[in-house]
Amino acid sequence: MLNFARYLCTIMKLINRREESHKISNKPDTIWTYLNRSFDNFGIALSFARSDIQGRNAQTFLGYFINLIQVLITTLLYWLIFGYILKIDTGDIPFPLFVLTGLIPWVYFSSIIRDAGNSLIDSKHLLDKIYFPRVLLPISKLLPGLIDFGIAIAVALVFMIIFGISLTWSIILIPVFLLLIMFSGFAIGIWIASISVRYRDTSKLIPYIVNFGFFITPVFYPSTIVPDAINFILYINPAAFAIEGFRWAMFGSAMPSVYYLISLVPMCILLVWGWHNFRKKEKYYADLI
Amino acid sequence: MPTLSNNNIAIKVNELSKTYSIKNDKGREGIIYALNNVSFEIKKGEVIGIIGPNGSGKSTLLKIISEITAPTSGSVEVKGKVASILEVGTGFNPDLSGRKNIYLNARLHGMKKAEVDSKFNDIVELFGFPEFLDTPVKQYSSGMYMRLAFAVVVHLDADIYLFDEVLSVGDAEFRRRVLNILEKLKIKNKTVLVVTHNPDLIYNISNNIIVLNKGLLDVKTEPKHAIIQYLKKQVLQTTDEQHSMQACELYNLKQVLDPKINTDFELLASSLSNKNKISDNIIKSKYPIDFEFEYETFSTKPITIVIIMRDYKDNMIASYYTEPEAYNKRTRIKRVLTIPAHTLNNLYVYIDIVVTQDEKPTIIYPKIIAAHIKNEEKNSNAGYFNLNIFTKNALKN
Repeated sequence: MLNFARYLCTIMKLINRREESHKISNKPDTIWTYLNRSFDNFGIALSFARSDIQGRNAQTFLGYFINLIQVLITTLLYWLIFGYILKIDTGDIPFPLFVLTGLIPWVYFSSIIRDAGNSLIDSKHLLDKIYFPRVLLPISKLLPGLIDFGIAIAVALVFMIIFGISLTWSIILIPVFLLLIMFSGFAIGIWIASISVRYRDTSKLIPYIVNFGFFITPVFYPSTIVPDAINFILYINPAAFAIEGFRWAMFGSAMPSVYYLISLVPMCILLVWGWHNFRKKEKYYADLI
Repeated sequence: MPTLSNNNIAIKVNELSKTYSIKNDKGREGIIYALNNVSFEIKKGEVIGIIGPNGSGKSTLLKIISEITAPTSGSVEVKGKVASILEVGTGFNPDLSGRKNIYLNARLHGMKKAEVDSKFNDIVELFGFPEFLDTPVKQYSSGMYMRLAFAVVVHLDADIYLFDEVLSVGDAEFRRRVLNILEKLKIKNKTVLVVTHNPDLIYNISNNIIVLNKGLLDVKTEPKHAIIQYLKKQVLQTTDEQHSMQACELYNLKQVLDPKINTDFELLASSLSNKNKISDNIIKSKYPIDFEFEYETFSTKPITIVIIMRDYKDNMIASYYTEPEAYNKRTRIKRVLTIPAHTLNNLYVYIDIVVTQDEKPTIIYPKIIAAHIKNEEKNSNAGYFNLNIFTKNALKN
């Protein structure tokens, strides 16, 4: 009981530490303090996100729908090339819907990687002039894409009804795979961001990584046509897991293989690694960037 | 948890150093000290000015206190919440309106939404352009942009405020408001650190001034002493005459323009007063004003003393010359220049004394007096028109 009270006191002290006296030195924060600080200032991440969203839509004609239109046009193009010309077989699912349900999670996933990965470099002016736990910058990049995701999913559901596909109970699993996308996109993004401080090449490399990822992810082809010999490429790819999961949730098709859980391992490593880099080095980010 | 033993101390800087590694043109890495073993304490409720030439580590110090960057060695203990404005308009989204930016920026500095709501009117009041609240800030003039940013930050509820070089921008009216706000913060017992290149702005309100030079703490002392110390160095170092003239302003600092001429002249006292004097700096023009000055001199060659009166825009209002005079031994002389009533109505007046020899200025005391001459009677608007009153008769030995 006493121990518990002491524990509570420590927590209270940590929470109020910015009001109380605090010491600034070159030592990194302890893991607990660091998490606490990031959590305390979470409002700042929301403020970044709001600024991004409102700024993006200022002085535009289409506003929120520009992203949706991009996705629809891409779907149309892929349908023409891969569905109509190359005739990739997608089973019971109509090809446009198949591509759409692959593209929506992929676009969100890649936007998290791109925006979170570049978040520090793009916000040099902020790092230099305002204090906040730096990890809030990549975190804030999760939100703007979420809106596009929501709009696109709603449109996809409308298309499903038009195509006459009935929804199954598995639709309730969409949030689970959405979380998977956010988690794995963020893990890659925060890791890239943490090394982008030192090596500026990352901003040049990200487009190639995303492009490469697109082709090894079953966005416009079903995972069943991948030869068994190279199946492992799918199983270490969290985006493949998420997209398979999405199609399962939307169409009630085959459940993703359990082997896909392997993909969570590298993601966890990247997340911890990236976060650790932030905790250790973020006090110097303003000097390095 | 480290705690500050003394309750009165807001910031304790302990052997603080910050190094940056830089590459020179040969590609070799070198290390420069932005701050070098700096230690000082700041009490709660103090207003501190930080001055120093470029590259002296002023901004680095503020960045470390606000945790933007970490020190290389040493530590800072800070008691209370810190609000810092190191650059105007950081975090503003140019595409968004002023109103939205107020909210975003306040949130960015850690204010809650309800707090912003309650302070919104005050913020707008200080901003001063309510009609532009819904205009995207990219269409603002740079002055307006800065006022908006400043208005947000001073309304943050912090214990310690850090300002970097923000006072030197904006018009006179805004500067007056900013100084007012600093006064208010001071009354509320908040701790304020102001970095500036322009010491006369903080001269009146700061308790202490810290002078940094090449990363070293030169001096931390009361304003007048600190500023003189700082300016002396600046004057000695600078080769640009214009700049050194400016550096002397208002601080009663004797400046020898031509060291080759060996004139011994020391201004002992000077004052502006009349029967209706309110304070040292505000004088009513209802009665004649006496400008008294006392000096000690020893000069074998005749010298002339010139009294120059300027308004705040540096326009000369009037000047007066004494007859050339030479003294064989050290002599103490007191002179009075009487300015008739209602001649300098509603003016801000600066007075310089210049000692000339062979028609060349040799010693200059810039801005030894700065005063606001007030006129209570409404219909009288003399001022620039009565310059002919400065006749020789006005000067009594």
